[in-house]
Amino acid sequence: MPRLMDIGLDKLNTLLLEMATLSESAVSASIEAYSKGGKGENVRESSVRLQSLHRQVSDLSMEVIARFQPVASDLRFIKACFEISYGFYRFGRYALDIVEVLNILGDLSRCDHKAVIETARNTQEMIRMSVDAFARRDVDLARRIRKMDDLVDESYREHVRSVLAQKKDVRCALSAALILRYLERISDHATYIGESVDYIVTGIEPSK
Amino acid sequence: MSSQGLEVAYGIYNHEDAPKAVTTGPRVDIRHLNAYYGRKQALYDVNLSVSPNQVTAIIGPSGCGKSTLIRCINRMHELIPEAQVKGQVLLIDDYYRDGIDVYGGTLDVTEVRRRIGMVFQKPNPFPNMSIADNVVAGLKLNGVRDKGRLQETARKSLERVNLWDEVKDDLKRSGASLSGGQQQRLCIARAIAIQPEILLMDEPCSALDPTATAKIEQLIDELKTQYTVVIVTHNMQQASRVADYTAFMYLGKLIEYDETTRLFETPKEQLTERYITGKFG
Repeated sequence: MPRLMDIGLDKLNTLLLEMATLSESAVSASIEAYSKGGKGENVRESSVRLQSLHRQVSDLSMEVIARFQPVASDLRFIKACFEISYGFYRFGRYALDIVEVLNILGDLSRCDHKAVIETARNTQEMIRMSVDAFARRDVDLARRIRKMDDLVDESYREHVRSVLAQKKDVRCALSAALILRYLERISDHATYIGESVDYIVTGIEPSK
Repeated sequence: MSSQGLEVAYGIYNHEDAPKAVTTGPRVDIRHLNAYYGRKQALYDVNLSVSPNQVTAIIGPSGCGKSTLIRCINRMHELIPEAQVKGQVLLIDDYYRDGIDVYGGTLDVTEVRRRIGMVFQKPNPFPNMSIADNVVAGLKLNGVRDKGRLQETARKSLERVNLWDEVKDDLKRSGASLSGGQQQRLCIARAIAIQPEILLMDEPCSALDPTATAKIEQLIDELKTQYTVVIVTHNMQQASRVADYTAFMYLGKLIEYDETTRLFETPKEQLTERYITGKFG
């Protein structure tokens, strides 16, 4: 027989899945705008919506805690909801930051996009993995995200050094460096989401 | 409320500098305990080391044996006709450093119950006695007649349970005239007046309202600085609020025993997980 608390837990799950889809598409749209010269029109809307959903997750989590005093896997799920929801919200916020770079620095179509595109490919893969790991509560997949994060960190450091070494066009170098930084932060949050999935399933806390 | 109790209960000390559990105070070591009501077995090979100066909660569904278990600790179980106990309940304290089996025949049953006090589900003050006489009833039974000592013990015990200020002007009133929560604190005062080492509590708040329950829970947290407390409760939130350690029982078996925060966050056994999340029982 379903428990009263399950209504709240199911709703939390639904909210997080909506955030996952929205944040994944916001990051994709921002990278496409960079590489193809668009303006990422829907990204701001998605980012605002993600912030609102993040608040809904926080409020609902607190309500479930206050009403049902969850324990064990229920408690771990709710604890993880805060981190996962924050991660998805941050994906959207960094996507918006990328679009802001385009708005401030203008047309970047003549820049070499290779460094950003390469890093973005890995970052987007990490986002997909974190979303799938959460949807399927897949610990193995969740644990693979951390390994990819090391790759992104390494690639970020290399690319930043190389784009800054190109002194021909400051706008290109600056935009690439900023966007690389945002992608690196997105990868970190994807890693935290993976760790939260691990915690929901196994109880192993990220710091331990 | 003692600050240490709060911090431990909230897990603030879950780091390397955390104060380690006291290991020198009086404690109980239950070994291979089996209990029966006639031919019906109620406990199956229970092994449990109760930590000194800590609160240990025993939880589980109705009929799982949790009350039987604590009633075995101070030999109350044998008061029931045809009840039997097999196994050991070792009381370990400063005098019996290697432990003495409460069923071993060396300790008189009265002495066992003096050292291991008990508070019951329903407050049970002696209705024909005054508040003060209720507190010192156990001392009088043990032959203490010194009026000054009896008065002093009554005052200290009532202070210890935070009841003194509420009753000091009318100590001759009947104990039965107090509210339910006050009666339960009176019963705890009566239990500690004879200076036990271990305090057993069998669902001490189940007949009380939330305010009275909160007072008893605060008191339990304070009492553990002096006593080792074992509490049976069907209220899991109460266990998570007051207990340092929690034991989960099911069908007469001890399924899992761990630090309370760990048992309620990451139980090891599926049975525990299912019970505490309300998926059965």
